[in-house]
Parts: sequence; structure tokens; C-alpha cells
Amino acid sequence: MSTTPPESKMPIFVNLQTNDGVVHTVDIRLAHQLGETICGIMRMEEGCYSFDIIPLPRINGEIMAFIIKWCTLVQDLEDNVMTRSKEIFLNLLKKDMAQPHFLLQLLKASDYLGMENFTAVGAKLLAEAINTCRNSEEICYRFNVDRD
Amino acid sequence: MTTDTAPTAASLLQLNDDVLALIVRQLNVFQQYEIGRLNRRLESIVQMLWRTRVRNVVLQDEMFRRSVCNSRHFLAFILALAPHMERLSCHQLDVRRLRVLSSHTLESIQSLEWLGDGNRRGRVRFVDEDVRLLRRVFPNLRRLKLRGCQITGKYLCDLEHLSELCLDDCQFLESQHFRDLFRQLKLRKFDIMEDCDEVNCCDLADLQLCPTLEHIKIADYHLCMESDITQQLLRLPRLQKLSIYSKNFVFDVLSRIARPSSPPGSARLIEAFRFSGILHDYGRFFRELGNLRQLSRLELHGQAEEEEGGQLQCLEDQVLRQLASQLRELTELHLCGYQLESPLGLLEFVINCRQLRVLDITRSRCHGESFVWSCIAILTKQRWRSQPLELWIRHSDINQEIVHSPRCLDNIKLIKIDAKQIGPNMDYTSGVLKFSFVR
Repeated sequence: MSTTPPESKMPIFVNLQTNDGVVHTVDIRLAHQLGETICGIMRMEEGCYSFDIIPLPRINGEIMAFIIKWCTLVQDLEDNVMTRSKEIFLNLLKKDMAQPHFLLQLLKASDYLGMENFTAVGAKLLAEAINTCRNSEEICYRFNVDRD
Repeated sequence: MTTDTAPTAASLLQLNDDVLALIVRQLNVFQQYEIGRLNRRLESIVQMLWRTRVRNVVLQDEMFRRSVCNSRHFLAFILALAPHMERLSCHQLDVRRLRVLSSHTLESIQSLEWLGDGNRRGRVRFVDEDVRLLRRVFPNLRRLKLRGCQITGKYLCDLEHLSELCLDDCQFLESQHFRDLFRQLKLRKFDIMEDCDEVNCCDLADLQLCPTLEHIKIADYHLCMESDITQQLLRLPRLQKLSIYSKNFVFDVLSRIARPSSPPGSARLIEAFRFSGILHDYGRFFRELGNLRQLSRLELHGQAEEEEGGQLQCLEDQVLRQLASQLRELTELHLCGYQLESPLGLLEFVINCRQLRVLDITRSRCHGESFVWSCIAILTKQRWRSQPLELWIRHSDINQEIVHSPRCLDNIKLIKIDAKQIGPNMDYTSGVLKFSFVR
């Protein structure tokens, strides 16, 4: 239970629980970077954090872990933010050997969380992935698009 | 618990419309068309974007290389885009793709750029018949730029609505077609400055047949030094700007224009002059410039000399003082990228030019802060000044912190120092003399 008033100098942590039951504990400062959905819940208590767990029913643990990792790496960037954010995103994707569907999952999650910067970077990368497709059949195959 | 983010069977269509639009916006226009063909939802997103975002379209050859794009496919793409386009720019596109449009009409397009590569061997070239095609396909064309084309100019006069024409690297132009061009078209802008070497001064003798011309861009070899063509240009009733590229004849060009030979009052008055480049005789240059007594705006951009280890060119006090005594009507003076012998030459402009509002010494070296203090001393005595002098010092040898100095702050009604301002137009080609005329 975190009922520490905001004026205290002790670090404050937030617990985020994804739909697979995994609890991700993050610093309050980082939690503020995780989008409007989480910020909105934190604000509800008027600065006094009386919640135990913030549930995130639309996101699984693997996706949340990636998002937290990215936010941790970009939160202190000052120069060339967009370019460097994109580089960090790409490097993390390579490390996780992510497939296109993983990027789609990330975009769904970031849109749900209301993370504009993450969505912008992810959209750019997804557009670049679509660019590499040789024809529309390949787009349909790689991104599971049903023709109609 | 819901598992919306299950790792399998994820689809692009699971993203909401806003995110899809964000993605589609980053694709080039042909890819947008391709993706719109896959699915009705994607099509509606593409159409929504096209309604507001494709007035200016750039087509590049490489867009069509990755996927097989035959003529029928290309035609369908262009016809889908046509209702939204107003300006079309084709970069190195195969001209056979343009010819596919031959029996269609794209009425909304008012501006077309065809940028070919004149050096690419073996490629099918843009020729005279393609100009006839333009007339059929783009009946409302107002602005046309052709680069690297193999046209003679034969059918250009048939583009009846054309008001701006730019020809770049068109080496096959023939002189007999220019008369009709100038007589039949109501051109406002005519540009053959870049690499149209086959056009000579005689070809342009008929420019005076086009009294609607407002902006002319030519090269020095288009001005015959024996004929009166320069004076004819200066008498065009609506002329606003005349840009002349000169590599080796800057002084001759300037003297022809600054010292008109026709009776006074018949030529247009020049209110502004701009030049960027390296000169080896600023004394002569300024002597000619001094003839433009009614000049209100003077803009000179120096460049570092490569042979001198990147040193700035030096302007001597004497030539500047002489010029300051002649150009008393100046309201703006831009001397950018020069080494000044001392502050004295420049200060003469502050003394003599009672209307001076802007003094721009961006990238110049004029002996630092002492110039500013001397300026203030002069301005203090000028009781007629109703507004402060703006001094632009970006990248000069004056410390930017001077803006916050007590002395400058105390004299804010006399001098306003700006360390951030840059000129309104940084895109200037070296070696171009640009004259602007009183309207």
C-alpha cells in the first residue's frame, strides 16, 4: 500500500498488473511517462496515492516489460529526441528478435495507454516495415490483412 | 482476463483508425494507393488523408521499381489521385509513364515539374510531342518546369494558360520558337538561368513582346553586350525582379543595368539589389553599385575563399564610405560574411542613411563590441530617428551577450540588437545578381 504524501522525499512506486498476472513495479516518475491512462488513474486520488495495484487488462507482461524498458531509456533524453527514441526502439526490438506482430501488439498497447511519443515512433517503424514489402500480397501475409 | 495482445494472429486491422492513419501517412503516395486497395477500411483511411494532404505530389522513379507496376496499374493510381492533386512533380520518372496518360485529362493540376536527367544515356527522353501531350492532359496548367528535356520549344506557345515557365538544362531549344512563345503567352515568370546554353541573346530579343513578365531569370550569356536587350528588359512595364547568373562578367552586367543608356525615366527604378559570391575587385563593384541612387535595400553575401584557407573577403573603408555617400536612401543594408577593414566604413551608412532600419552583419567580422558602442554614439545624436536601428549580429565577431549589457538596455530606443535573426531567404545561388524594381 502506498499512502505516502507527495511532499515526502522517499521514492514512491506504482504497481502495474498486466493481464497475465505479472506485477511491474515502477518509480512514480516513470509511471508518469507511461501515458494518459495510467496518469488518469493516479490523478483520481488528488495526489494521494491510495491504490495498491493499477490493473492493465489489455496488455500482457512481455509487452509491458518492453514499454517500461523503452521509457526508462528515453525519459532523460534532451536532444534529437525523436531520432534517438527510434534508435532505442529498434535496438530493443532486435534484442528481443521481434516479429512484425510484436510491433503491432506494442502499438495496440501504446494506443490503449495513451503514449503519443511511443505510438509515433512505433507507427514510423511499422511504416518502414510495410515499405520493405515487395507487393501487396506480402503486406497481407506479413501483417495479416484480409482483403475485401 | 482479456488477452487483446495475444502474441499470435495480430493484424494491422486491429489497430484503430487514428493509429492506422498515422502509419499510412508515413508511406509514399503510391504505397498509400497500394495499401488502400487491400481493404475497404484502409481505403477509407487513405481517402481521408488524400482529401487534405495530397495537393502537392512528388512521384519518383524508385517508388515504382520495387513492385511490378505496369501501365494499367500506373494509370489507375494516377486517376485515383487526380481529383486531389493540384501540383505534380515528377523526379526522374520514365517518360513512358507520362505517355500512359495521353488520352486522359487531369483538370485540377495547375503546376507540373518534369525533372529529367539529361545525362542518363539510353533513356527515352522528353521531347516536343510530350509538350503537346501536356496540353491535352493538363489543360489548366499555369506553371511548368522542365529539366533535362530534349525539346526545341516548338509547342510551348500552345500552353495557353501558362504564366510561369522554367527551363533547366534544355540543350536543344531553337531560337525560332521564342517569338511565338513571348507573343502568345501571358507569362509572369520566365526562367532559363540554369544550363540553357543554346539560347543566346538574339533569342531573347523578343522578350519585350511579353509585357506581363514580372520575374525574369537568365544568365549573362543571354545578354548580348552589343545589343540593346538589357534596356528592353528594363522597360518591361510590370517587371518586379530580374535575376542574372554571371560567372565571369559580373561587372559588365552590373554596369549595363546600373548605368542605363536610355533617357532617364524610361527604365524601371531599382529599389533592391542582392548578390552572393566571390569578387576580386570590390572597388569597381561598388563604383557601379553607387549609380543605383534610389536603392533602398542592399544585400551582399560574401563567401570564404578556398585558396586563402577559408578567409573572408575584406571590404575596405574607403569603398564603403564612398558607397555610403551615394546610397543615402537605404533602409536595409545586409553585409554578410565579410571582414571589414575597420568599423568606420560601416558607420558611414549609419551616419548618411537617415532611413536605415536594419543593419545586418551576420557572419561578418567588424572588430567586435566597439562597433556597437560607436553606433550608439552616432544614433544618440540623430534626433530624427523615430524607431530603433535593428542590428543583426548572428555568427559575427560580436558577443551575443551584448544584448543583455546595461549600455544596450539603456539605449533600447536607439538600437535593437538581434542575435538570432537570419535573412528572409537563405536559398541564394552564388554568382546571381538579383535586381528588384519599384512597383
